Amino acid sequence: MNVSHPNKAHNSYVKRLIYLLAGGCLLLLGMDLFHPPHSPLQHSSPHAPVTGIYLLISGVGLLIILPLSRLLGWLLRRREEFYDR
Amino acid sequence: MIADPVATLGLVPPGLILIGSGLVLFFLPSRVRSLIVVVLPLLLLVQLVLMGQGEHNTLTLSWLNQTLTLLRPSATGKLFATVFLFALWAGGLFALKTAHRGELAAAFIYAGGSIGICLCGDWITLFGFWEVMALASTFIIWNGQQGDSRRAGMRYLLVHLAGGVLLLTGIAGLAISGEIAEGGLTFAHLTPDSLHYWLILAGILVNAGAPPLSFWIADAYPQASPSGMVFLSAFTTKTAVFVLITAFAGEVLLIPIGLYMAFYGIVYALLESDVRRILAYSIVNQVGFMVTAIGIGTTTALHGATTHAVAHILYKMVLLMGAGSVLLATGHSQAAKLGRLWRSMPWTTGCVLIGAAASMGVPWTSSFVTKSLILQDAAESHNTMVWLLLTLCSAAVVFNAGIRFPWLTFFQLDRPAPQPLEAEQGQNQEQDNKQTSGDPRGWSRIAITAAAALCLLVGWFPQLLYAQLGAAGLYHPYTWPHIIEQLQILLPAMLLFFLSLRWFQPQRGLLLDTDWLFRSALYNLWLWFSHVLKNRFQVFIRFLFNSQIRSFNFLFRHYGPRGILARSWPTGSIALWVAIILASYVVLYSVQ
Repeated sequence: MNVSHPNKAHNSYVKRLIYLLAGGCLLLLGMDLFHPPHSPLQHSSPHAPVTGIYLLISGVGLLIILPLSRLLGWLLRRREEFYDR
Repeated sequence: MIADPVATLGLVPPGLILIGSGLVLFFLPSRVRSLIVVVLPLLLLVQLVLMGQGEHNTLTLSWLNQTLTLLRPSATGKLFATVFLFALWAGGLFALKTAHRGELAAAFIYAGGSIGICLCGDWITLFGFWEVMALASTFIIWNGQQGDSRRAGMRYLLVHLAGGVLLLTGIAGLAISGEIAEGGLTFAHLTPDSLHYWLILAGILVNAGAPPLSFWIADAYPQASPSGMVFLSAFTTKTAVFVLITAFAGEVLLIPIGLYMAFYGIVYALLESDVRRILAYSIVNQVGFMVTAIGIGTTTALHGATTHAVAHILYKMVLLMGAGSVLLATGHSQAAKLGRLWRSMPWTTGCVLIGAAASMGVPWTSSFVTKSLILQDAAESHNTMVWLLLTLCSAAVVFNAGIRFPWLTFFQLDRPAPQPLEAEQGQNQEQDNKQTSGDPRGWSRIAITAAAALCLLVGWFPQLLYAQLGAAGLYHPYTWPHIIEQLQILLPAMLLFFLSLRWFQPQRGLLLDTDWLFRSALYNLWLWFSHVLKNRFQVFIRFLFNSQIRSFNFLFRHYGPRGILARSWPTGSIALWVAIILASYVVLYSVQ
């Protein structure tokens, strides 16, 4: 693979990071089997999942925030000279 | 008049010393100024460490029938003052070679105001230091010499003067309501039973960056110089946090305000493409955590807010010194023009990575041992929704100061590395590599390294920090479940960050904020109103003028040279008119 081109190097680098992080998430999920996590959600709802609860909160929460942020960006972005008119 | 000069001989307020030295710093020669910048904060740090607490260590002053308590240190106040002195020292070192002497002088006065507030004991003294801070910080912004520094500084000043008016009105209300203790208007916890409570709270929240005025941080701070923003990030918002901890702990209204600030900072930082503005929004985000903790109001939550303020000052200094070094080296802060700088600035990259890890709360860094107190207390006090939202915000820090800032600045590989500033101006390339394209040198390098080292020190030895609040041994952040939970929060966020890289590429343009209301909506409303007023005034003036013209014409018509009353009449006509008048008189007289 020719990594001298910036975009190719970038993509290869990012892909490796993604695989590494995905592996890390799986490893942490596995650790929940040995150290069951404790969260306040278990007090308020007995049906709340235990294994992977923190991964779930982080992942699902961000999947809600990210599109909403992008929508807000689309609504709120203006030209740099907006206030100079 | 000093109440007991002998007993208070060693209790000269550090805030006043800094304000006094700031006033003379401007006029001193360069070498003496450098000496003061390097040595004085360290001497005051020693004074602060040796200073006792409580009623026996107060310094009072009588003024206009009021007792002003210039010095009454508490454990929390001393901790804030200590970290402020470190921020002044490190910021001063970073600024020494690049900043204008006016900026250094203003920074000393600004820090003096903040430290004065942390150690004072009454509301009137607090207000005095509060306004000193507002003016000095405005001068730092004006010293920035960026494109919009003047106007941003003016907007900043207007916001803070408005906050100061609210605060002063509240303090006046406090004085009138008769809640004056024996020692004057004591700076202590307030009870929410009157209007002045809400006025003081509103005045303090303006400085904390609370809604609807959260915009001023991202509007004004990036307009300061690279070193100026380091000073600004440390003092104003954290001083407000200290005042909230002291006077408004447990105020439930602060919980939604803090949560709003936390999410506001995340969303705007995510959409921003200027790295210094990303860090400015990140300040709002982290202050949101502290404000929420103050709203919860338990001892653990307040310890969390205090220690997290300390941690935040340290790691945000590292990040801003990193961003400032990049700005000085390349002349750019727009993410679209940055990237791949880790090769040319390895030391800065290393320090920034430590600061970024601390901002995310990676285990063995400062934020891990401070933010966890807030989250733990939200969970234990059965604020499940607050805990859930704060946990989500902890994960989302990856998308601003945590990974996004270092990635955009030092690592994004899909764009060419920026040219050094002086290379762009056509100077010698070899000299550029030695002087401007690389890491900061000398005092600047010591400053960023010291701040990064403290981020690690607090993370490795959290009990040192807890002990400053008398809470050594109360909290144990390093348990396996806690470490695993924290990594479970951060790793999916990092994964999503790299998966969504294409979504959040740097874009040109500005983001509308609530400042649109002041800068556009109210401004246009004022233009419309003045236009209408001007038109109405012109109509009124025209009416007056036309009325005068008509009156004059009427008079002229009757009394002018050709007017009916100015004509020369024939004798016959006059005799006829006299006869008619006499006849009328006779008829009227006979009828009567």
